[in-house]
Amino acid sequence: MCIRDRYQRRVHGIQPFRKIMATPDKTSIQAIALLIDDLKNEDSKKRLNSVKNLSLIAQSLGPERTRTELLPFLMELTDDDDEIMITLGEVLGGFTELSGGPAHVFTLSRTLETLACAEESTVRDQAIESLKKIISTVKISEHQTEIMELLKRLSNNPESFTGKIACASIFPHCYMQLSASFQQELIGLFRLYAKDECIQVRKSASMNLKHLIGLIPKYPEAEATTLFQHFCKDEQDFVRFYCVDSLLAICKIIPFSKSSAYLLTFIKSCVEDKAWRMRFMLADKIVEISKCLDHDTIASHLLGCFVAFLQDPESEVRTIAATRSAEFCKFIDGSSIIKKILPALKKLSTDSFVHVRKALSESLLQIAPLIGGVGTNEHILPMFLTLLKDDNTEVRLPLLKNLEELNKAVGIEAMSANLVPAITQLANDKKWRVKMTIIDYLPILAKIMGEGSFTDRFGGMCLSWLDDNIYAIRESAMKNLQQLTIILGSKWAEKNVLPKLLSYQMHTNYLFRMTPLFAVQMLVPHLSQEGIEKIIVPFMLNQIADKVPNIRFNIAKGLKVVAPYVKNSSLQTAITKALTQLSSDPDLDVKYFSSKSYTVAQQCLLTLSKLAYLSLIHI
Amino acid sequence: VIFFFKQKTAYEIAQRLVGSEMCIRDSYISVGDKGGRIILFKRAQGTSKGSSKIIDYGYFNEFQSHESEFDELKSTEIEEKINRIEWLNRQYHSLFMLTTNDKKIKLWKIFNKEEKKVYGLNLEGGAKALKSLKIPKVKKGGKVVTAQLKKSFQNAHDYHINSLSQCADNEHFLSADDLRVNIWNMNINNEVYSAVDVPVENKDDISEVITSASFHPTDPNIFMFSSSKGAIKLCDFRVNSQYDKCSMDYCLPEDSQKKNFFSEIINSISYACFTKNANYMFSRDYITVKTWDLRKNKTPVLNLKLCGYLERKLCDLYESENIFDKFEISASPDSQYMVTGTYSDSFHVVDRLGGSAVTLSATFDNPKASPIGMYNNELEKKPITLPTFDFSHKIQQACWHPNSQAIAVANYNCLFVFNGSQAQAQHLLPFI
Repeated sequence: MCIRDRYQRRVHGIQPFRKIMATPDKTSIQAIALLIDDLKNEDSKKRLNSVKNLSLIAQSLGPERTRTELLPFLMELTDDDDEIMITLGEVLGGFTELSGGPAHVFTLSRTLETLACAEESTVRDQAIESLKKIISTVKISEHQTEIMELLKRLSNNPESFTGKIACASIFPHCYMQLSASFQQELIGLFRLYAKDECIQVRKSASMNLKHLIGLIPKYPEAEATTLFQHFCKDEQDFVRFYCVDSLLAICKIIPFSKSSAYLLTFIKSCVEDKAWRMRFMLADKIVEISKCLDHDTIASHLLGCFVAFLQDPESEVRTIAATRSAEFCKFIDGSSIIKKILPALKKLSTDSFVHVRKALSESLLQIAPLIGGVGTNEHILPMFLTLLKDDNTEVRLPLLKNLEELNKAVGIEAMSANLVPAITQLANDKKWRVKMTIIDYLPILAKIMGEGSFTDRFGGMCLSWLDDNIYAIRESAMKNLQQLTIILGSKWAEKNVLPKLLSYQMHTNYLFRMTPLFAVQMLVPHLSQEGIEKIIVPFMLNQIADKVPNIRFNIAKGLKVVAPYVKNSSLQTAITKALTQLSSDPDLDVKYFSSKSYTVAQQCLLTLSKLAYLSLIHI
Repeated sequence: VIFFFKQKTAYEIAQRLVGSEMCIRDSYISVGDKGGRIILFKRAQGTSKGSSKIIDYGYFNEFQSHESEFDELKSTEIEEKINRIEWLNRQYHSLFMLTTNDKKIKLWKIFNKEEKKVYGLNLEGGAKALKSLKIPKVKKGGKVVTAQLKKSFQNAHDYHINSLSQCADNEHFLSADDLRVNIWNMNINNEVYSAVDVPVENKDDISEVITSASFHPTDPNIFMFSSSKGAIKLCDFRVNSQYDKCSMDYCLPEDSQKKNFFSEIINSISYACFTKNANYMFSRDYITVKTWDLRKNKTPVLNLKLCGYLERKLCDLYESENIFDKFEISASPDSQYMVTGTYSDSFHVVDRLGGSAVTLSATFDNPKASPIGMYNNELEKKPITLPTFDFSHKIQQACWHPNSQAIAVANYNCLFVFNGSQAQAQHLLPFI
C-alpha cells in the first residue's frame, strides 16, 4: 500500500504528465502500471484520473495492444459514473492515432457507440461529438460499409431510442461521401425518425434537418422540404422550434421564388402560433432570415410579423423583438420605419416590464442614422427623453452607449439640457457599478461635446471620483482621465487634471496617495515633455521618503515608466540617484522594484549621453 | 360499477410510513419511510388465476436516499423523511426515480449492475515484480441491483417541498413548495426556472399557499397547482411566461352562509391530480372530493361530501390537530375511479360517474377485504359513514396502479395491495 501511495502522488501530482520516452525507464512504467490498475479502482476520483490520462496508457502500450487489450477493457467502464463516462467519451475522440490510425477507427468506435446509447443525455452528447470527430479522421468514401454498419448498429439498438438520436446527428456529417444506394437508405431512415413515436427522436431529427438542407442538391430538395413541412405541423412545440433553423437554412440555399409558398405559410403559422416560444424563435432569427431575402419580400411579409412581435402579449417576445429592432430596421426603408416600427417601439418605451424597456434603450439610438435628422428629432428624441427619465438605471444606462449616433443625427447641444441632469443623477447613484459604467461612457461624451462645454459640466465630477471610497471607481476614474487626455489633449490635462491629482500626495491615507502614482503611469505617454519634466518627475522624486513602503515601491515602478520620456540628462541623473537610494531600502519589495527600474533608468541615461555625444560630434 | 377489492399482499416495514410517500410504476412499488429509505417492491411473476391476472408484489430492494442534514444558515435540522417519490417514464432499461425530502431532490438510477472483479493488476506483486505492462482481467459475477445517485437538485426552495411531478417531455420535472413552483431540467442542477413565485412582503400575511402541483400527463406545457383556499390553477406555458396571465382557476365561489370557524382549514385542497386521459382533475380536501372537467372551470362535475361524517366532529378534530391531516387522492387508469384515505384504517373508492363509493379497510384481520361500507348516490339518501372512529389510525396514501386495477395502500408501517375484480363485483353488489 505504501508503494502505491507514493506512486499515486507522483501520478496525481505532476500535471501534465511528462512524455514517455521511446524506452521508458523503470519509474515511468510503474506510474503507467498504476494508472492502468486504477482504471477499476474503487475510488471514483482515481478512476477519473486514470481515464483522463488514458492517452498515456495507450502511448505506452502501443497501437496494437491498445486495440486488442485496452479498448475491450474500457467497455467495463461504460456503466460507471456520469463524469467518468463523459471524460472517457471525450478522451476517445482523440484516439485515432493512438489506436493505429484511420484504418482502425472502427475498432475504436465500439466503445463510443455504447456511450452514445447511454441513458444519460450528457454522456450521449459527448460520445456523439467524439464519434463525429473520429469519423472525420477517415476517408469516408473508402470505409462506406463500415460507416453504414456503425449507423445501423446505432439505429437498431434494441434497448432504447437513444441510438436513433445519435444516428440522426451523425449521419449528416458523412452523408456526402457515401454512395447513392447508401444515401437512399439513410434518407429512408431519416424519414422514419421524422415520424417516430418518441418525441425525443423527432426532436433530434428536426434539429438535424438544417444540416441536411445544407447538403442540397446532394440531398434531394423535395425530400428536405417535405420533411420541413412535416415538422412544421408537429404537435409538440419543441419539435417545431427547430423549424426556424431549418427555415433559415432553406433561405440560404433555395431561391425564395421557389420556396416562397411553404415558407410564407410557415412564417404565418409561426406568428399565429399559440406557443409564445415559437414566436420567440422566429423573432430571434428574423435578422438572419432577412439577410437572405430581398427588400421587397421583407417589406411585404416580414415587416408585418415583426410589428406583431413588438406588440406581442408575451413580454419575452417583445424583449427579443426590441433587441433585434435596430438590426432589422436596416432592411426597411426610412418611411416604413417611421410609419410602422416606431409607433410600436413608442408603446414599448412605457412597457411595464423592465427588460423590454432595457432592450429598447439598447437599440433605439442605433435606428437614428437610418431615418435622418428630421425623423430622429420628431420620433426618436421624445422616446429617448422618456427612457432617460426611467426609474430603472438598467434602462437609462444603455442609452449613453450610443449617444454618438444621436449626435450625428441631431447634434448633442439640442438635448444637453436634459442629458446633463440625467448623467449627473446616474453618476451619483448609490450602486457603484452604475457609477462605473457612467465613467466609462464619459470619453464618448467628451468627444461629442468638445473641450469647453465638457470641462464646464463634467470636469469637476471626473476629478472628484479620484477619491471615491471604492478602488474600482478610482481605477475607472484614472482610465477615464487617460482617455480624456487622449481626446482633449495634453494641455487640457496639465491645466485641469494634474493640479488636483497631485494634491493627493498630501492625503493622510496612503491608499489615496497611491492614486496619483497609478494615474501618472497611465497619463505619461500622453503628456507633453515639458509637463513630464517640470511637474511629474519632481512630484515623484519628492515622495521617495514616504513612510509607507507601498508608496515607495510604486514610485520605483512609476519611475521605470517615466524614465524613457525624460530627455533632460540632469533630471535623468536625479532619477537614477533616487532609484539607487531606494535600492538600499530596508523593505524587500521596494528593493526589488527599484533595482528593476534602476536598470531601465540607467539604460535611458546611457542613451541620452550617447545622443549628446553624437550631437557634439555633429557640431 | 364499483369494483370489489381483494387484499393480496401485506407487508410490515420496520419504520413507519405515515406522512411519507409511495409511488407505483408498472411492476414496481416504491415506498419512502421516515428514515429516508426507499423500499422497492417488485411485481411477482406468474400469479394468474383463471382469466383475471392477480397482481402481487414481493420485497425487492431498498436503499438509503436521504440522510438528515443540518442547515447551518438557518440553524435548522433537515429531516431525512421522504416527502415525495416519482418514477420517471423513461423508455430505458433502467429505472429512474426522483425522491425528495423537505429541501433536496435526488435523481436515482436503479439498475442491475454487473459485479466485476478485477484481477491481474500490474502492481499486485509490488513495484519490483513489475516486468511489463499488462491489462488487468475482469471476472464477471452476478448482477446486483444498484441505486446510483445521478444528480441532486437543491437550494431552490425556501419552504418544504410538497410535490414532484415529471413533465411529459421526459426532460423536465417540477417541484413545489408553499410559495413556489420550480421547473428543472433533469440534466441541469445549477439552474432552475421559477414558474410560480408568489411574492411575499410579510411572512405573517401569507393567506394562500400551494399545497400540491402536477404536470399534465401528456402536454409538456401545462401544469396545475392547488391552493389552501380550495382553488386549482391550470397554467399553459405556451400562452405566457407569467403564470398569472396564463392560468385558469377551478374554484367554487365561497358560500357565505355555510362559512364557519373551520371552513378555511377544511377547504384547503390537500392533493389534486390529473386523470390519465387528461380530461379531468380529481381533488381532495378534508371533507369532500371533487372532479373537475378541464374544459369547465366554473363548477365541478362531481362534488361529493365523502367524509361528511367528520363534519360533526370538527371541534374534536381541531383539538387533536387531526383537522390538519392531509389525505392524498389517486386516479384509476381508466380515469373513472379515485381512491383516497380516511381514518379508522379505512379508505374510499369513488366512482366519478355515479358518485357512488365503497369503503374498505386495510388491516390484517380482514384478509378478504370485504367492504365495510357502501354508498350509492342515486339509491341511498343515507350519508356515508364509518363503523368506528379511530383518529390515530389513518390512511393518507393510497395510489392506483398506472395501468391495471390494483391499489396500494400505506397504513402506518404496513403496505397493502388490493386487486380489483369485476366479475365478483357484479356478483356481490347486485343492487348497483
